[in-house]
Amino acid sequence: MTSDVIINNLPFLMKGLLVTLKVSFICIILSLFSGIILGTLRFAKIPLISFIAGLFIDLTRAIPLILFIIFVHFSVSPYLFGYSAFLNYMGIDSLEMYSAIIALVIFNCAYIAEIIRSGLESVGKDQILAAQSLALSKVQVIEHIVLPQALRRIKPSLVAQLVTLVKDTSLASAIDLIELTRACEIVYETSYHEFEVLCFAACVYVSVNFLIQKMFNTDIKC
Amino acid sequence: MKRQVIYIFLLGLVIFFSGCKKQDETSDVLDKVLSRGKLIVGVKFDTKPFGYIDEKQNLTGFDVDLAKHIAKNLLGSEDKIEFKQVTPSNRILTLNSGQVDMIIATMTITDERKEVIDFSKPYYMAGQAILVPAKSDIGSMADLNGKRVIIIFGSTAEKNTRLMAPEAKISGYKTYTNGYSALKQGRADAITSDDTILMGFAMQDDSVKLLPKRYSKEPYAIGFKKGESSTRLRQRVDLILDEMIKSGQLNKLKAKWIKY
Amino acid sequence: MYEMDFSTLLKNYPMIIEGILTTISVSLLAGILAFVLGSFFAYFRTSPLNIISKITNFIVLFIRNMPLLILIYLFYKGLPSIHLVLSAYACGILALGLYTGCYISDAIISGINAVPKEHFQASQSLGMSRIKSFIYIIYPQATRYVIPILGNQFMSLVKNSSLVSFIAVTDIFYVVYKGISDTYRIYEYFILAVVLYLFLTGFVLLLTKILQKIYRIPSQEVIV
Repeated sequence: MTSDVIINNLPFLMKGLLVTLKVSFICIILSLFSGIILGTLRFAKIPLISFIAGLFIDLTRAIPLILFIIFVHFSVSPYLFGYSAFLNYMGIDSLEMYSAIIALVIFNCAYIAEIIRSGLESVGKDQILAAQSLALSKVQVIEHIVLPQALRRIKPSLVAQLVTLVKDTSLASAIDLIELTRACEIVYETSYHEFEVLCFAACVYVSVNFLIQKMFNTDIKC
Repeated sequence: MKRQVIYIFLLGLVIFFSGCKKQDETSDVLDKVLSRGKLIVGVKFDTKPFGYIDEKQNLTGFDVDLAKHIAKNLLGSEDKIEFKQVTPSNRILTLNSGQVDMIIATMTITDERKEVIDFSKPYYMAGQAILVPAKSDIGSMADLNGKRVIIIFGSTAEKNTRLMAPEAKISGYKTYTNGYSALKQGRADAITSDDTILMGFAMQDDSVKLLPKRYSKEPYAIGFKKGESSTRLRQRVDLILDEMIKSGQLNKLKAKWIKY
Repeated sequence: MYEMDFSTLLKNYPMIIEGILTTISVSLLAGILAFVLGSFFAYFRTSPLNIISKITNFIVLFIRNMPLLILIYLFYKGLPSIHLVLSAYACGILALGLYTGCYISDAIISGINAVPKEHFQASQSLGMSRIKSFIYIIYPQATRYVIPILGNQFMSLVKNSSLVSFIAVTDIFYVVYKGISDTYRIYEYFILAVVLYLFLTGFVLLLTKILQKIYRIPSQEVIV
C-alpha cells in the first residue's frame, strides 16, 4: 500500500476536483434559475404551457443522466461550441465542459422544478384563497405569498439536489471531461494502484458533500 | 424587488451573450491555419508508439512527428503547432466541431467514417492483431471461439472478429487502457485491435504477447472536416504526403517508431 | 439534412434484445439485494445499542455521499488489487444494490417512525424479542407506509443501472453507446434508448401504483 501515488499526483487530482466544483457551481445556479421558472409554470396550471412543462419534466426524469450527457455531447455541443466569449472567459473552454454543463443543467432543471412544485403545492390552499380575496392577481399571489414560504420549506431538498449534482459530475468522465473521477482514472491507469486512488476519490467526494450539507445547515443524514 | 430581479436577469443575459460570434463555418480551413500561424492537430495521448507522453512528460510519437512535418511544410516551422488530445470515441466530434484543423490519430479509413469526414491518402498500413496473456494457448483467430475477447468502441476490429470467430464473446471498453487492465486482471482472454497499438502494450510488458498473424489491412489516414472548407487543406496535405513517400522520409519515420 | 434511418436499429436487434434483458435482470437482482440490505441497515440503525447504530449510520452516510460510479469502480477495479476478482455482472449488482440499499434504509426508517409506538410496546409486553417484533409487527407496516418512496427508489435503480455499461455489462446503454460509436446514427439510438427507459420506468411506476392499492393501510384513510 503506497500512498506515494496520491501524493505525487495530488496537483493533478486537485485540478480535477476544481473542475468538478466549477461545473457543479455553474450548473446549480443555472438549473436553480430555470428550475424555478419551470416549476412555477407547471404549478400555475396555465392551459397549454403547464402541460408542456409537465411533459418535459416527466420525460427528463424517466431517462438516465448518462444517456443525456452522451446525446448532448455527440449532437448538440459541436454546434453550440464557441458562441459565448463570456463563458470562455469564465474558463469553460472545452467541448466536454460545454456538453456536461448543458446536459446537467437541463437534467437538474427538471428535478428542481419538481421540488419547487411540491414546495409550492405544500403551501396551504387557504393562504392562496385569502390572498385572492384581497384581489391579488395570480402572479402576485405566487410571487409574494407562495414562493417565499415554499422556498423556505424546500431548502433541504434543494441541498440534497446539489449533493446529487456533485455526484453526477462524475458521469461526465464518460465524455473525457477531466474532473475528479477521470483524473483518478488517468492516475491509476498508469500506476496500477487502483484501490488507493479510488478510496481517495471516495473520501474527497464524501468530504465535499459533508461540507456542502454543513454549509447550508442541513442535517447530514438527509 | 421584482423589477430589480428582472433587470439583473437581463443584465446577465447581455453579459452571457456578449462577444457572441458565429464560428466561421464557410471559411476555408487552410486560410484559417495560415492566418492563425498555427496548426492545431488532434492526436492520441495514450497510444504507443503513435501519440503518447514519454517519461519526460513530452508528447511524442509517429503521428506527432508527422504532424510536425506537415506544420513545417505549411507554415515554415515545426513549432507552429498545437496538439489536442483525442480518443477513438471523440476524435470525429472534435474534428467536426472545429476544435482542431485535422486529426492524426491512428484512424482507419472505413466507409462509415467516409460519410462523416474526409480522409487524406493513407500514410501507414496497420493490421488487426490479437494480444493475449503470455501463458495463453490461443494461437490464432479461430482459437477465439468460445473465449472472451475485448474490443474498443469505435475501432474496426469487431467486424472481422465476428466473421472469423462467430462464437467469441465480445465485450467493449471505452479506452485502450481500460481494456488492457481488464485483460491483465483476467477478465478476458484476448484483446483484438490494430497491431500498432497492441504492440505498444506488448513492448513494455512481458506478461502479454502479441500473436504474429495479421487479420486485416487497416490503412491509417489523416482526418479532415467534411465539406468544401477543408478541401484545399486536404489537397495540400496529400501533396506533402506524396513528397514524403517519394523522398523516403515516411519510411524513415516508420523505421524510427515501428520497431518490428 | 440528417436522414433518419431506423433500419440500422433493426439490423442490430439481437444486441438490443440482449441489452433489454440484461438491464431488466441487473435491475431486478440489484433491487432485491437493495431491499434486503436496506432492511438490514434499517434494523441496525434503529438499534438501541448506540455503537451498532452509529457504525451503521456512518457506513450508510459514506456510501450515500459518494458517486455510484466510484462505488462500481471500487468493486470492479479496486477489489482485484486485494486479490478479489468478481465478474463485471456481480460487481454491478453488488454496487447498485449497496448504493440503493442505503437510500431504501432511510425510507424504511421513516416508515418505522410512522408506525405507532404502541405496537412495539404491545409486542414487547407479549415477551417478543426485539428482532421478532421487528420482523412480524413493525417491518410489514413500515414497508407498507413507504411503498411510493420505495417505488421511486426502484425507478432510480433502473436509471442507475445504465452505469454498469462502464464495466462492460451489455445493458441498454452499452448497446446504444456501441451503436453510436460504430454507425454514428446518434438520433435513432437516442430515441430507442429514451423509449426503452420510458417503458421500464413507466412499468415500475405502474407496479408501484398497483402495490400501493393492494397494500393500502385502511387506518390511513380515516380522517382524524
